Amino acid sequence: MSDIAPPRRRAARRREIRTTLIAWGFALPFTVLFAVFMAWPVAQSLVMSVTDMGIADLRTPFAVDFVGLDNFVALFHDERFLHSLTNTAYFVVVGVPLTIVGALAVATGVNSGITRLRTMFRVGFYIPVVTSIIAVATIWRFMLQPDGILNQLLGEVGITGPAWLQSTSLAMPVIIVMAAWRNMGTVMVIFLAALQGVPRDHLEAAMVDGASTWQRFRHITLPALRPVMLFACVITGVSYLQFFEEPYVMTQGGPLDATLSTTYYTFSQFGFGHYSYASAASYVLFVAILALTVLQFRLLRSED
Amino acid sequence: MLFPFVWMLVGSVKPDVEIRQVPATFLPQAPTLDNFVQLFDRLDFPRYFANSVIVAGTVTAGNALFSSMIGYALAKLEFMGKRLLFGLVIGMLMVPHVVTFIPLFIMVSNLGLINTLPGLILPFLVTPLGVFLMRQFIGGIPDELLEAAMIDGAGHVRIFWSIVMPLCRPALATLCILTFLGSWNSFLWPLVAALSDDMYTLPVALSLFAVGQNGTQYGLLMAGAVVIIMPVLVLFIALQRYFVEGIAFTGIK
Amino acid sequence: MHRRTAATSVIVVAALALAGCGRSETTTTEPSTSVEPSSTAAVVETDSIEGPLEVWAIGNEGELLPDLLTEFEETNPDVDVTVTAIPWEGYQDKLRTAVAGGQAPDVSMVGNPYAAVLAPTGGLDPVPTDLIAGDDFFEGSWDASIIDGISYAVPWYIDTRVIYYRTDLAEEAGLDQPTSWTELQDFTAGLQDAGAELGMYLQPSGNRNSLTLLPMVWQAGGDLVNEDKTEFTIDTDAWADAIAYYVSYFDQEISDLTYMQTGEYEPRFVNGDVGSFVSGPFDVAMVREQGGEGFDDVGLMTWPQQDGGDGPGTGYVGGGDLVVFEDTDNRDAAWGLVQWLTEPETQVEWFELSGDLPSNQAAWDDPALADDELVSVFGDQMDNAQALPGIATISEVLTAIDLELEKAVRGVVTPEEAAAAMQEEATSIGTGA
Repeated sequence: MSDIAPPRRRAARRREIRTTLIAWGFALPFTVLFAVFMAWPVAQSLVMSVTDMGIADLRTPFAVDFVGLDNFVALFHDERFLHSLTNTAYFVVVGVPLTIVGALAVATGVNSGITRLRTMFRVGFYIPVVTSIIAVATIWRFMLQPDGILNQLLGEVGITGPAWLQSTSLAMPVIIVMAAWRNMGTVMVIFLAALQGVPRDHLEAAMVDGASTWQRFRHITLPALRPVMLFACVITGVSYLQFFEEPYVMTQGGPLDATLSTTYYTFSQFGFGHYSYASAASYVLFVAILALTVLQFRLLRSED
Repeated sequence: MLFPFVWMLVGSVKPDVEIRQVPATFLPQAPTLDNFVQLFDRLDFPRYFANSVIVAGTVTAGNALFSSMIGYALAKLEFMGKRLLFGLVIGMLMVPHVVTFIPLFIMVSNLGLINTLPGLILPFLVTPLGVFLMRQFIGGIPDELLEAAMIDGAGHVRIFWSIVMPLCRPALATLCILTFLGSWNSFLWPLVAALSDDMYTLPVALSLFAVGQNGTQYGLLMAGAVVIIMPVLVLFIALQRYFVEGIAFTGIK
Repeated sequence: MHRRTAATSVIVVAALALAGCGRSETTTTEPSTSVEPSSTAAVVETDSIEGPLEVWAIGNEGELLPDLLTEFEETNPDVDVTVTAIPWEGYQDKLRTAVAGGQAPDVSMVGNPYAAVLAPTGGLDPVPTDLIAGDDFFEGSWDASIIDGISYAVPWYIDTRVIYYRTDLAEEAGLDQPTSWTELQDFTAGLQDAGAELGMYLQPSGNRNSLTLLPMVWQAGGDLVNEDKTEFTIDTDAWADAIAYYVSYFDQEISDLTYMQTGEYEPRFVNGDVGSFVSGPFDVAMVREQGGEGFDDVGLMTWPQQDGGDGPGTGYVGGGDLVVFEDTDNRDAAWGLVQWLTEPETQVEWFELSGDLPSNQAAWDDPALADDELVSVFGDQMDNAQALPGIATISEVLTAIDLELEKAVRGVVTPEEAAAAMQEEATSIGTGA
């Protein structure tokens, strides 16, 4: 064994280097663009968060002082910031499962259901995703006015609808439902693509063995969907932790900050010129996103 | 489910006065195409449409290609620095976008790309999301398929192009739709990166003409929203049959 | 595994960027919101201007400005003006990023009082006061853009708010024009007796409800800051009175908590659900349009004084201003244009083109304005109107006030507590002085 090892090791090393070169060749376009347009700005903003950069420094961003973790400490004494974190958590904890389960149900239904109208259903569920948020928000606002369509309809069945967007307790659920409605389409599309990859012969075999639809779903389809499930949960989680547009156009963070999201708060801090503070807030959010993603990876990782 | 969309369609043919009316009406009482006429009249529509198409189209194509390339490398090849690269990609996915705006603008400005189409395209030509998606999907392709091809003497490029890409059609279709949509509807970056109105994209132009300091012109907004949706829907309908191409992973005989 | 690599990677890349930071000793040690003007009032020659000029204007003004400028270009043939219309949405982000990246235009319109907020960046060119005189303009509008004694913007058009009311309901209830706070409240309650669901729409929450409160504060003799803009003066009786008065409308159910944006209260005014509301000139056209043919039951009146008396109570004036950027390559032409746009003759022409009310006081003598019935009500209000003080932190302070006012309206805090809270927050934000 030992006398043929050195040439084999050398050949192996050469192959390894060759593979590395080829791999980096594949990765190059991405890496260059990524480094220039993503990594560098992120690095700069991370640095911003440990300085005292404010509006007066806008044109000379390097002439600022290093202040260590002061911004972060200040954030955790900031009531509105902390409140926004709770709101964001509420949104994610309820919104993500709602969206994922809803999308999965719809995708499965559309996939195996009415073949003729399948296209229509797919398109139909995807339309909320494609519509511009301003149009969506305008429409929902109209519908949710105290004298708007929703309450008019409820009135027909004898229920006096509340002032949905004015209520500190109802506003957030409304936003969550709206977000789920809007984003279900995206996740549905992803699940649909993935459902195509479920081994059909396994399903057939199971059917022959007498397994029920639910059993087949649970033991064959779901496991096969694992990598995609992870992907869907991660992107929905990441997106929801940064939810911004819905409160921005619907409620402006109100009523009484009930729908103030962390990204909205950060955005308004940028607006006031508190650049370093806002950067710090963003990185706190980053940590939250990181934590959630890690959790999801732990729970849903398949053995690739 | 579709009610808001229907309401939008219906609203696009109503005059503003009727849209705002209380109590609200559903079917238009005096349907008019005026909103659409205004849309094409006041806005330099062909130009904004072209800008949007070029930007979104290039971003989508770029993503489809480059994200797949690196997705393949990350999923199927062993190489030095792989963990670091993937870690960075995932890391970037999680950074809130809002924080990178000003540094990104300064970077693009230093490159002389402000107010140019490349300036609108390049920062988004590849996205961590795309890489993540393709890596997951390609990861699901059985290694045996690729090994068989390698034994037959195919190099990685050949394998990538002739075997992996075709198998990835559902994933590619998904990626294209998601990317196109994100780019097509994006507002904030095209707003700050365009200095003159010949570089505006559709969402920016629509906001300019429909959303005023004192009130929104709802009819124009709805008409604009309806028109803006169309290309995405068309793309979706064209691509959605690929979602059902089921041969990918069944049976490697 | 992924977590550690991801986090480490981000930090590694960031650490590389840490090099090269730090304030140099040569910059001043003033707090970061202080302003360093590049050169106070550089000499500007506007007799023979030339060259390209980039102008940004927002929304409707952006659409209409090119028409007005044909005349300017005729008188100044060597100047080539390009107007870019920018949307209202996000225009502040757009301007800030442009300044950050050195890509600002020569001239831009901004909403009053945004110039004061932008001034600390050093990106605005101070107004050459030998060329444009502050006295020509309504005092409040001009003052709103003064930071540390230097003017950074010229008011272009103004916008003031008066009370719109249903004349038929008022007549039915036999109501006279109110001349005091108490009379105003009785008036609006009277509108409800005559059939309106809401006597008055007062903004309960959301963006800038504080701007509806401020006139009341001024009417009660108070103000946001002291004379030299070093301190906030919110924890005072005037504010507590004003807030209490505001809240009383909700307690008495003359107003309710439903927040309505522009476009939402006009239809309800037209169908009689809302008896009155506070707004600016643009709503004249909108109400008429919403009401359609034959609807002329809309009347306008100025704010009453707190304790009664002739003449209007203090109202709020805002509007649009013009700024020139410090980076401009064509300072002469830029200020030349601003000067031209704010001259009385041009101001009247602009009014006829756009409906924007002139900021230059002399323009109001022109028959086009003096003889217009509804415009004259706005003119009357301008006899006693105040603008926001020129402080760099005004946006943030107003947002804090918005929130506390909402709490007071909902009964979460008392008016005194609200005033105290507003004072505390405003002080921690600072005036930037």
